[in-house]
Amino acid sequence: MMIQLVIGVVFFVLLFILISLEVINKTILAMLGAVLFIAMGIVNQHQAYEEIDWHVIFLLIGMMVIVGITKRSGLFQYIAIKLAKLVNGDPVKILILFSILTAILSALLDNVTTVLILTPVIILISVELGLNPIPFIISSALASNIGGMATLIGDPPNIMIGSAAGLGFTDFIINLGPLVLILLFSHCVLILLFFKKKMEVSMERRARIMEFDERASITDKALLIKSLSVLFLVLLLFLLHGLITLEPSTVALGGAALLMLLAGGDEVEDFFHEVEWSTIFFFIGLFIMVGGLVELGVINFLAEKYLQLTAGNLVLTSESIIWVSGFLSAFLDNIPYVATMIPLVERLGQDIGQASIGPVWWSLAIGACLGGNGTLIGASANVVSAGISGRSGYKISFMEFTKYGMIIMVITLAISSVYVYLRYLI
Amino acid sequence: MKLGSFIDKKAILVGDNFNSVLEAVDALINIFEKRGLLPVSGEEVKKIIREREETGSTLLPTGVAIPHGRIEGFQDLLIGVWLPAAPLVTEEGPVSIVFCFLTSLTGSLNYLPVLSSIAKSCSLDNFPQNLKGATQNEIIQYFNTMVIRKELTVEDIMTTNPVTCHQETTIGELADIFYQKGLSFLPVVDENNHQIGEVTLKDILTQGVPDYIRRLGNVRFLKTLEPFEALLRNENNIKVKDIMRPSKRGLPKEASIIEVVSTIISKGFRHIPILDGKELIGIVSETDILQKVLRG
Repeated sequence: MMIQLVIGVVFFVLLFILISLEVINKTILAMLGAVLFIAMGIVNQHQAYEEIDWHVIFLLIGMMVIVGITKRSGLFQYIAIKLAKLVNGDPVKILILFSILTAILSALLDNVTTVLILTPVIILISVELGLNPIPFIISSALASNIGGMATLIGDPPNIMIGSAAGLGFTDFIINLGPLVLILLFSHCVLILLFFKKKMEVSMERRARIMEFDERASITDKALLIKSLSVLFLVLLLFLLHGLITLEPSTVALGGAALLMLLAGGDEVEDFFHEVEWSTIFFFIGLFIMVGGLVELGVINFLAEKYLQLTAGNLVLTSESIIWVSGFLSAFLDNIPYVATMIPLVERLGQDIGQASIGPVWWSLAIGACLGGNGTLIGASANVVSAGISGRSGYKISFMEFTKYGMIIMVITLAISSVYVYLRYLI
Repeated sequence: MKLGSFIDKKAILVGDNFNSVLEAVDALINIFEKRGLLPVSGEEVKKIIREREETGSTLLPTGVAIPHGRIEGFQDLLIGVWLPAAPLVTEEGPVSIVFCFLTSLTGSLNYLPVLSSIAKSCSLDNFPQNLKGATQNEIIQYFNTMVIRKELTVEDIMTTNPVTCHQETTIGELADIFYQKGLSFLPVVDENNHQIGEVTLKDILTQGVPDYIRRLGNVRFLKTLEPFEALLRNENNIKVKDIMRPSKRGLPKEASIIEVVSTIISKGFRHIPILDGKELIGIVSETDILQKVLRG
């Protein structure tokens, strides 16, 4: 048992480091790790597969298909161009509106999809305005991580926390929605402080934006109607979770099947390509490894240490989780981090009391989501938008992103600490 | 196998004064008919050959005429030869020698190898000029030095001495080459003529459309952008090494035709560089397959 413990912990820590350094593909690492844990007898095979949280897996798959089909309609591009024209190409207003749009879309879709769709439009518009696109891209990436926090489906940590803690779509909106609005407002103020001076544009340049014909973005009107209907239906069923007892994962799978049926029978294979299978298998591998850590007693050990440090004080526990999660997520991948923290928080719940553990879950979600803003590598959305920007000739260095991201992260974490304290802890 | 083995000495006509290729063909077919080698009447065969001639000249630039007919149900390859005393002047050019081929609808297995061996002699041996004034026996002797491989390889159908470019070629020069030679693909080679990459016309066009535009998916809303402006300004500053890609294509010269064709189909390539070891010795394109195999 001792040898298993040592190897198990060493390998898990190693995995964490390798994933964060991106030396080897993280999905392959997670799968190898899972098989190693099974082969060493840390978890038996049967139990290993029961460790996988299928709610998370199917919710991810379902939403990937729905969003993948919806984005083909050109709707998101349409909205972005329409917004830019509504404010007559005023760069300051575009900077703010695009950040808000990214935040809203990130709450409803997932962050990476959102920035994949919006970043090219953002670059196009800023280049046409004769401006450096980097402030626009950084602002949107940061806003995407803030917005994603607002809903169950906005960010993978929320999906995992929601499933483990039995928190639904409505719970997230009610508890984190108001906070996200406050944070988004603060984000916009900070972004204006950072970048407002750089936003000078001639009328000639602004006229170029007005030449864009946003209606031409909609490539398939029928598909647009079908996918929006299904997306709204799915969101509605998420909201009605309390009444209909259907889990979000089931709703998402149903929505995906319905949309595939409506969108065209021959392209089914094609639609399944929208699923990022490597992400799915990353989750599967992680769940098995974390299950192994629970078996080894590692999680129990960590939880007891945590309780000793905080003396079971709920305020101290919640607030420390916000900050610790924030800073760790800034440097580490927040998905394995949250996967590890979930059993730990469950264990804390046994001591502190299930009824009062709620704020700790929210603290975990807040820290994990907002922490992603801390550095360029803190969240996939940052990496993806910096990648697109770099390939278009506007390289964003680690330090350039981090100097803005870190400020935004610290300020939003501070606001969140106050929010959690005022709302749950007095 | 030797080419001489395929040809009956009696089907080699030397010196007769025919006024056209078709006249010689008729004489050769008469010989075949007399000897009972034809599955259908001589007239039928003459008609088939004339129909083929009408679809396009069968005269190769080297002065070798290869009138041919594909006959239904025929299971052999008959070759007749006419060597005029002096090159016959025709509208398409001078004819130094005529090979008349009769084969099955799908072509006998040996048909293409024979053609390729003739083509090879033309490029290596000063053929057919070296046969001038030869007798039937001398012709057979020469034909016996022409070895026919049963398996045609890509080397037989590729374009030799292909146009290439270097890393330091500017994309302005590259565009000129593409434009003047009507090409859309060039291998990039080093000083040893080793293939180190490839560039296509698309790679140049890609330079005119920045990455973020390509990612938009649908650019119909864009009416005012002028993507090539910057490209035209910079075409003498951007070099091939900046836009070339590592070549994932390339087949050894021993590759069979079927390997070439299936590579073209499965990988979607239109051109494949042919290598001798590491050295680039030719390029085969889908057009080469059409011209030299399907309509060879």
